[in-house]
Amino acid sequence: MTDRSSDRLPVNFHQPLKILVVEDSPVDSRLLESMITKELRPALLRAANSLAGAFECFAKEEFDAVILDLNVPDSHGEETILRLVEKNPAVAVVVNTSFQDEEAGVKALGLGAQDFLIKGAYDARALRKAIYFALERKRLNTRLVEAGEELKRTRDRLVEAERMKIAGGLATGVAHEIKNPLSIILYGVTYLEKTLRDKDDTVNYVLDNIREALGRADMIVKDLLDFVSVSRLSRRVTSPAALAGKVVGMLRLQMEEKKISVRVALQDAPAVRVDPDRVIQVLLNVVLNAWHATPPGGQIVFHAETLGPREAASLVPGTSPGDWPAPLYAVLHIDDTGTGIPADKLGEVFDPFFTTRRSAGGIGMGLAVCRNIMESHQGRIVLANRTEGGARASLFFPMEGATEENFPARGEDGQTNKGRCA
Amino acid sequence: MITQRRVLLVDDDRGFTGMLKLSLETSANFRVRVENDPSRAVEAALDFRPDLILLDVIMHGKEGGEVAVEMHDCPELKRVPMIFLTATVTKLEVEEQKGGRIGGRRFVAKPIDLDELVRIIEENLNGNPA
Repeated sequence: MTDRSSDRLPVNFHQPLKILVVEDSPVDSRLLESMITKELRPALLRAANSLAGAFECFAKEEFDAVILDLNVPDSHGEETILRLVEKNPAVAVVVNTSFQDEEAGVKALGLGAQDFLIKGAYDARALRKAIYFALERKRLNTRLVEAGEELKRTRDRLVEAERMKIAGGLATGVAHEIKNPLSIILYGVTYLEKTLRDKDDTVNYVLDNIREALGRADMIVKDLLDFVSVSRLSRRVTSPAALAGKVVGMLRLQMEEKKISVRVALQDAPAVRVDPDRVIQVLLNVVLNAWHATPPGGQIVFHAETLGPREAASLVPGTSPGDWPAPLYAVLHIDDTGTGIPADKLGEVFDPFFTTRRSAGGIGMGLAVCRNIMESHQGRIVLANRTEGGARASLFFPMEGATEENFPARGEDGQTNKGRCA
Repeated sequence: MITQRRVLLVDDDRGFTGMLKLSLETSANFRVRVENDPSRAVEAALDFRPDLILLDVIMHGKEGGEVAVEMHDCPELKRVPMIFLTATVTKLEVEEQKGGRIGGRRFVAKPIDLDELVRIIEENLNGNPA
């Protein structure tokens, strides 16, 4: 079948087509088939006398166009076109209707048909024109739908960018105003500690609580500012293995305490140009989330692969190759054997202030900051549930100007990915 | 006897200056003079003759940067070490700079632990004997 969705050129009227005739009257069917054979010289012509028969044909072969009688033994009227289009949304449909029923033909145009014929009122040339015009209308309609979807995605991104700009401005202002009073409390409590500490258990308890609350407030302000100030990056060519190694080193005690084993399989991961401190911040967040979700005895694994835009798009739902402008992406996966992410929460985890650990003091800025950091690297962070259980965080880093010669991209298995990214 | 070092603190937040003066004087061997009106900072410095000046950046009436220029233009004050103590930068931004200097000036991000602030003050005193 011709790939009409990506066709940017009008339908070629001499191109041989694959055509299916759905008609329960043997006479009408034979008439149609003979006209089509003579006038269109089709690449493929099949006939079915019921809707079920039509579906059988579609299961075996692909078709460019269907000539459809609306009243067949197993389906009548509108239902016939609706069921056919629902199952085969890409096919062009020409409805073939009796002259008493011209109304039904017109109606079918609004239900997914591209043209209609009135039985006995057309000749072979009119049939040919109807089929090719239907194909052209289908092509234009598909492009219109694609453009509409693209427009919606662009609008969503703009709304999101604007939202973050406002949130960013607010965060900076608020954070600045909060830091002065925080300083006062800090020096106040420091003074009280030096003069009152260890004189009374209740005083100690109160001081500890103030200290702890102060630390938390300071952390929130810091996170807010981090969130809005990632535009300045000091990038260096860095090996992902070294970054992961640092993060694993920082968390060694926590991992040992919970008996979680960590495996870093990044020896062949390509170097990336990133701000190492920022990427460590992202990895820390991701790995700590994995640590929280993973029960004792579980495992966290780092591994990497190199993907082109097509592969990246197929891996990340809701993106098309056009959303991946770099020629290649170095992708770092962090897999855990934890509880995974509830399906209804997958869309929200990157929203500021989203957290599943509110009661444990989480404020939900971690992943929002991570997303900001990855986007300022022209990369992405994606979270998904693994089919074998647990979650996978994937960090996509663009390899700008990468060609297969200067970046001998290797997957975890040591195989080169040469030729995989067309 | 160790001589008491003199610190001039210029910040328009009275709560902050009161608390910091109390902390610096009770926990460390400093004598602190507070000036809450930035337009009178030079006058206060000429009168107090500090060994070091702690200066806020965003103040009502006059910005810390302007005050710093005025101090620098004054022959009696131009050699007095100065530290900007401000909420406009984050710790990370300060740490990213070599020696915590932005445009040649020493910056400290609020809020900062008292011990750390004392350490930074002493470093700058030693490096720049008054």
